[in-house]
Amino acid sequence: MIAISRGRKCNKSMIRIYLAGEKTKEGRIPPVLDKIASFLKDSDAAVLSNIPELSFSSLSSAEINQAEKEGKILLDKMDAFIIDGSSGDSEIGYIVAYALFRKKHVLYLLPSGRDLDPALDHLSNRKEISPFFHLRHWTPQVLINHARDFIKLLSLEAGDSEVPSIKFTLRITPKIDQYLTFRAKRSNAKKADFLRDLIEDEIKKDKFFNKER
Amino acid sequence: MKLKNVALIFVKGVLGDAGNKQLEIGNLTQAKKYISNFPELNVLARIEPFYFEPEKDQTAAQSWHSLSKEIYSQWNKFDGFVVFYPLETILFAAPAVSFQLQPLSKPIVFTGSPFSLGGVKQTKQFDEWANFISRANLMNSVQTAVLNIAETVIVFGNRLIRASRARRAKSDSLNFFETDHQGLVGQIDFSVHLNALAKTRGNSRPKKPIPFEEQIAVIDLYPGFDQAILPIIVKNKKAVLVNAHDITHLLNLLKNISSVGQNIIVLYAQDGKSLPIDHKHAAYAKTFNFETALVKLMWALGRKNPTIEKVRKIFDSDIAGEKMQ
Repeated sequence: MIAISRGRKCNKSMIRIYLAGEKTKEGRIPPVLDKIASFLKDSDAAVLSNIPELSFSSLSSAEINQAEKEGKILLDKMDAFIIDGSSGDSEIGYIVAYALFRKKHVLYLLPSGRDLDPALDHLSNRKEISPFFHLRHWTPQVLINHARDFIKLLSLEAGDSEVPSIKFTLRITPKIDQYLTFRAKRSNAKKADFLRDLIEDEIKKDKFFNKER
Repeated sequence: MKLKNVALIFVKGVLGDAGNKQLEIGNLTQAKKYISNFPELNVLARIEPFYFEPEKDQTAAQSWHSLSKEIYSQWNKFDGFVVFYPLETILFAAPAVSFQLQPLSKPIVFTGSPFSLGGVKQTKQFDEWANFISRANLMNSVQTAVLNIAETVIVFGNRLIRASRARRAKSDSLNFFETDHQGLVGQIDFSVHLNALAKTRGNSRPKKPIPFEEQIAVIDLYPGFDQAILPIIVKNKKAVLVNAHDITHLLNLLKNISSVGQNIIVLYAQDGKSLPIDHKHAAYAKTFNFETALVKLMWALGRKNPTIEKVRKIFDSDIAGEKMQ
C-alpha cells in the first residue's frame, strides 16, 4: 500500500521513517506502533507506514512517479524502519530483509520475553548487518525511550556524516608524497584534507553510486 | 514467522557476484556460496538451491523442456520456484516453461542479472551497481514466490510481468521488461503487491511436460522478401511462423507456402493484431510478442499428429495469459 496523499509531504531534509506492522485480528492498529507514531508526530521525521492510519506524511506524486518510471522501489526512499516484530506477516519479513540489504537502520521491537525469529537472529548476527539491526524488547514503560534513542542515533548519523571519523592507513610512494605536499601547500590545506576533497569530488561525479542513494 | 519452501534454480550462464567481480555461477557449490553471501533471502523463505545445466549438445528448446521437467519433478516439495536465468534468452525460456507446466497452481518466478557474460568490460562501479540490481531482483523474486499467486512471471525492477506477455522495454530504466495492461501482474513499492488479475494458488498438479517441436521455419516478411527461397526455408519443417511486417504480399506468401506442401502456418502481427486475411492453412498467433508466438507453436506441435485445426484451436485458447483479446 503506497502512503497516499495525507498530511505533510516529505522533503529531502526530513528523516524518513517507515513503520511496519500488522493490524490486530480485530482490525485495530497495533498499540506499539500507535504510540510510536504519536511520539514521532512531534518530531522532524516524516513517517510513512503500511498501516495507512499511521502515515502522517507522504511522498509526492512526482517522487512516486519518478521511482515507478525508473524501476525503483519506494522502500529505497526511506532512511530508517521501525518494525513491530510481533507480526508474523511475510510482508514484514520482506521489509526487514530489504532494509538490511540496503544497509538502513531497523528498530525491531518485540514484546518483553518474546524470542527473535531464528532466521532474523542468524541474519542480525552477521558482522555487516549487526550495526543496522537494533533489537529492543519493549514494555509500555520503556517503549518511547527506545524510539527516542533510535531517533537520536539517526540524527547523529545524519549530523556527523560530514565529520571524518574512520581511520584509514595508506602507504604511498615518495613521488606521491612529494606531490601531496606540493598541492597541500599550494591550496593552504593539510594533505589529508586535500585527499578527502579529491574523493568527495569523485563521489559527486559517480552517477552509479548516486543513483542508488 | 512460518516460512514457505522455495526452490532457487541457478541456470548455467547466469551471473552472480563473488565480492565485486562478475562470476558465472557454474555449479551447485558456487550457487550455494552465492546464497551464503546473501543471508537476507533466508528471512523470506526456506531456500533450497539447485543448479541447472543443459546436457551437452542440447538445443535451447530441449533445455527448456528439461528445465520444465526439473521443476515438475520437484513440484510437491516447494511452495514456489525462482529461476535465476541468463538475460539474453529469458523471453523465450519463461513463456516456454509457462506453457509446459499447466495447469499452474504455484508461482514460477524468472529473474536475472542486468549484465551479460562476454559483454563489454565494465568499470568496477558498474559491476557494483549491477550486483546490487541482481540481488534486489532475486530478493523480490523470492518474496513473489511465497505470495498467493499461481503464475509464471518475470520479476525485474519494480514490476511483476506475466512471462507470456513480456517484451524488452525501450526505456533506460531498471524495468528491463514491459507489458500491456493484461500482463502487469504486480508491482513493488513498499512491498510486493499483486494486481487483481493475478491468478491465485490451487491444488492441481501440472501435466507432465512434453518436448517442443523445433522444426519450424521462421519467415520475417518484410517488403522485398524474395519468395523464391521458400522451398529451401520450409523444406522438412513441421510448420511455418510468419512475422508479418508486410501485409500487402502476405496472401501471396501463404499461397506459395501451401504450394510447397506446408499446411501449418501461423501468422504473427505486432501486438497480436488480427490481419484481414483468411486462409485454410493459417492460424493467427494473437500473442503479445513474437517470442511467445514461436514458443507456443513449438509447444503446440509437440502433440501427436498436429494439424492446422488443432493448432488453430490452441492459438484460439488462452493457455498462460498470452492471448490478446
